[in-house]
Amino acid sequence: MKDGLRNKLVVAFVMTALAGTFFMNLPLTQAATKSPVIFVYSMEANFQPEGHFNNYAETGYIGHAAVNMIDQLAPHVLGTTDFYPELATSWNFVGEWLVVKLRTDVTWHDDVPFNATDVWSTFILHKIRGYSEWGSNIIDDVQVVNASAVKFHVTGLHDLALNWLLSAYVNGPYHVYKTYVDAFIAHPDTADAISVDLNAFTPRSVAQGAIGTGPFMLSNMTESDLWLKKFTNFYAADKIVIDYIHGIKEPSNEVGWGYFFSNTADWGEPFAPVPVATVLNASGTKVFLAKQTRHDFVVFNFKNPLLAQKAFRQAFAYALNRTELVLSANYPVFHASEDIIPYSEFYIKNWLNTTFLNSLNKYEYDPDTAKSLFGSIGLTYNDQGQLCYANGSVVTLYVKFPAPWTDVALMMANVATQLNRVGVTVIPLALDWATVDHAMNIGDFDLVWYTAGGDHPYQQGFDATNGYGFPTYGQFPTVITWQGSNFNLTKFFVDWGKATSVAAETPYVAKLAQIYNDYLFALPFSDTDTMFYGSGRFIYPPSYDTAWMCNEYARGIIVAQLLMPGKFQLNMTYWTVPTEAPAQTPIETYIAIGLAVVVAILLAYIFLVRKK
Amino acid sequence: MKWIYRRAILALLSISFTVVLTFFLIRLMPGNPMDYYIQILMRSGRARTIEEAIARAKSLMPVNMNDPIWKQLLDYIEGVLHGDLGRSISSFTPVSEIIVKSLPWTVFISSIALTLSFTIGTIMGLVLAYKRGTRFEGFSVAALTVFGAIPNYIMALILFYVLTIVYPILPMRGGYDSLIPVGLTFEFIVSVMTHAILPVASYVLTDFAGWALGIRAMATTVLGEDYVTVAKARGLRESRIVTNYVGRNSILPQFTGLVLSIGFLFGGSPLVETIFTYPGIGRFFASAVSARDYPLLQGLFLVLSITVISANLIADILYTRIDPRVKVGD
Repeated sequence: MKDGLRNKLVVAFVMTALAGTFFMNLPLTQAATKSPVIFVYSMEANFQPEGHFNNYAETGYIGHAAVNMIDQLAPHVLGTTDFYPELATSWNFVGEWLVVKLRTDVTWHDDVPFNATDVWSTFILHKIRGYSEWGSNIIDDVQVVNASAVKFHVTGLHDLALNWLLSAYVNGPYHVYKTYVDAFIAHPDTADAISVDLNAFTPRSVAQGAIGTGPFMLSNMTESDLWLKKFTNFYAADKIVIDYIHGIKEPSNEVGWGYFFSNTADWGEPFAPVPVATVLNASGTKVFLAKQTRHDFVVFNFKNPLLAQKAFRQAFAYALNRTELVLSANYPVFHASEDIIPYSEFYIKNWLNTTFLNSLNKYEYDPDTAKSLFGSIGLTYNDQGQLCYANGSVVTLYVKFPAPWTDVALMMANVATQLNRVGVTVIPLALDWATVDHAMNIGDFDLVWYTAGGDHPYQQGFDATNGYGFPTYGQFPTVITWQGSNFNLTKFFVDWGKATSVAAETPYVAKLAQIYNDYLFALPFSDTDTMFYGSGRFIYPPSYDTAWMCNEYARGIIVAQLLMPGKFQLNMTYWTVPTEAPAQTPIETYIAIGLAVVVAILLAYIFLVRKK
Repeated sequence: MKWIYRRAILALLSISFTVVLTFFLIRLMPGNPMDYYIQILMRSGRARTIEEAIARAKSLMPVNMNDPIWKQLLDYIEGVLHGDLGRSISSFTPVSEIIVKSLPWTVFISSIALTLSFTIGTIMGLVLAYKRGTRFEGFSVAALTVFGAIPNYIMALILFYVLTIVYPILPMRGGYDSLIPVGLTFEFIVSVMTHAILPVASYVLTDFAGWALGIRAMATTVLGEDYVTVAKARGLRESRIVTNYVGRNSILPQFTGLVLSIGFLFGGSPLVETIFTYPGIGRFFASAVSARDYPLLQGLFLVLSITVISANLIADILYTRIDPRVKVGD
């Protein structure tokens, strides 16, 4: 190396070192300060416009953490006929009227007192929107009795009405939505126009947009982050141990788990398997898994003559090893359906006892039975072991499912693999959501994946036989041949709809279970046990004051509760809530270092290149 | 000048044709926004019955949803001419508002990424051309080929995993720290810059290789020209030969590519922006396609069409100025 060049390099290095030393002398750590307790919750979400929140905009799904902002009247206790008091203190039927009495110590997040008009206003907003309790003829009127009582005129099943009305979130404060509610009362025929206007209503401040009475209130919302802060006037505020909930939006499950395992999030949805198991197995925990809150089905297209045959559907059920199927998803919250009944445990402990369930055919994996059933309807096998029609053409079925849900895609690919083993040629097609929905709507499928959350058996059965809820062409026939004669399902549900007590409904539930099990309208293969998860179900009611933290949607709070000193401690680093801010390198230091490098490069350039 | 006018009119026609074509193309996709939204409501349990789902979905749909397709097209064209792009079905926000809010974020990271990848790629390509035949060149070309073959979303996932999970030193998501008030403060600007690092790096690390390999090929040819040999013989400094003799004559095709790339700055990358939850226009492309959000898709394609076709026009015009050999006749 030439001497000149060496000298210039030395100069450049010295200058770099000097500049670096100068800038590196900036304080590398910030003084540790007391920090608020922040619970970071990773969630699937689709936020409304930045900074706005309107509970009655038909847009934006801000994730489960946000439900900490609102309360229910009395959430349903899963697997029982009980409800737990939240905003409601009692409820009784007086003739056809359900009278609900309310707490009197509740305020909205803008400190306006909560009263019966707000409950009335909420249900009027539901009516504008066409919510189910009105559309399904559960109620036809709601009235304010006094400041702390409201009554509903119930026209449908009492049991179903209780569930839908008491489990409803109260989130339509009259003083915020007055314009829309009053407009509808004055002109009920303008509901559609008001509904559109409601979408565009964007409250910009807490005072304008008080959306709840819950333990946390909206603080800030950007495209990627939701901040809730503790509501100090909450009626059980002394029980809240965290100051903020920071909801972070996850673009996919995998990225959400990345947040979780990098300690960016304390908890999230869907839950990574290891923490779920740890929480469940930890001693002293009051958290448990909600059983069977979601069911995954294979739905058959009844327009396909082959699939319209009960024997083929039953063969299909015997040909599938449901345990292998759910294991293929590699996600432990799925487990193989034990009974081929698609309904959740909503009241099921009261309605279907173990003995009755055990008497049903479980369709255990039995490929030989499957093959003999195929033979019973005239199907044969060719030399290559492929199942064929009598004319020799190969039986080929297309199964469609949404590619974006990787666990579902894995399971449905496994359906194809397993059926191929018994000679059925099944071609799996992974598509985008809208395409799958479209295929279901127009009946462009042989088999399609479908999922349903647990709901009242009456509602699910009614919807399915009437073409609702299940894909078109996959719906239940209204008249079936069952036990040797025609059975009219429509009439069955009409009769059931007249029942006004759980006892009166019990025989209907039992019969539906038998029919479903025998007829196999669709094949449920996976029941999902979900931690703090479902669709409007209450999980665990340890006491009145902590009821708010046990709602499944408030799972963020449940976990936060676990962090209470002395109550519960998990031996996992990501459960640690720091009381002091961790020492951090200030960003200015990085900038200074960057500048030093730039200066060094410039000097090197001047000395090494330009002079030459 | 007549040539420029002709090209401008042609560009306008191209934009109009693209707008009409995309209007029909997006409607040829299977499914529609109404069905999609109904299924979302049913699957998520947010609607308990199909009637409820239909009623709720209906409130989001454009009023002319059930009109004949030709009438919908005319309404759309009329709206565009009046500056009204309609409302997004997904968010019920005016499409123009979404574009105005998200476009600056995309242009911000895309322009930095393009500048960096072009600069780094060009310098590297010139160096490689000059070092042709050496081991350094062989190794570098191999490495560039690998980098150039990696899609930017794969690079984004790698960077996400390494720099936010394994070594969590950079922000994972968003355009800025949500705790910092938005404004022209030092703190906010620093936050914006740090949040842009990973998306920009995802683009730069996959794009610079293309620029480098492109100019290397051109420069290698130029290096064999007589005037370069003469320059060397005259004893000119190597840096001057590289920049003034080789660089300048190799850059013309690069320049064309650069101007064309400017058009695509406005489209963003749906996957990269989604991975980093970056508030740019690309993320809206992704969500609009999934939700069959026709008004939003139309608006986004309109912006993209205008920018790409305009960039083509500008490239044509500037090329005549940069390269005197290019003549345009009236």
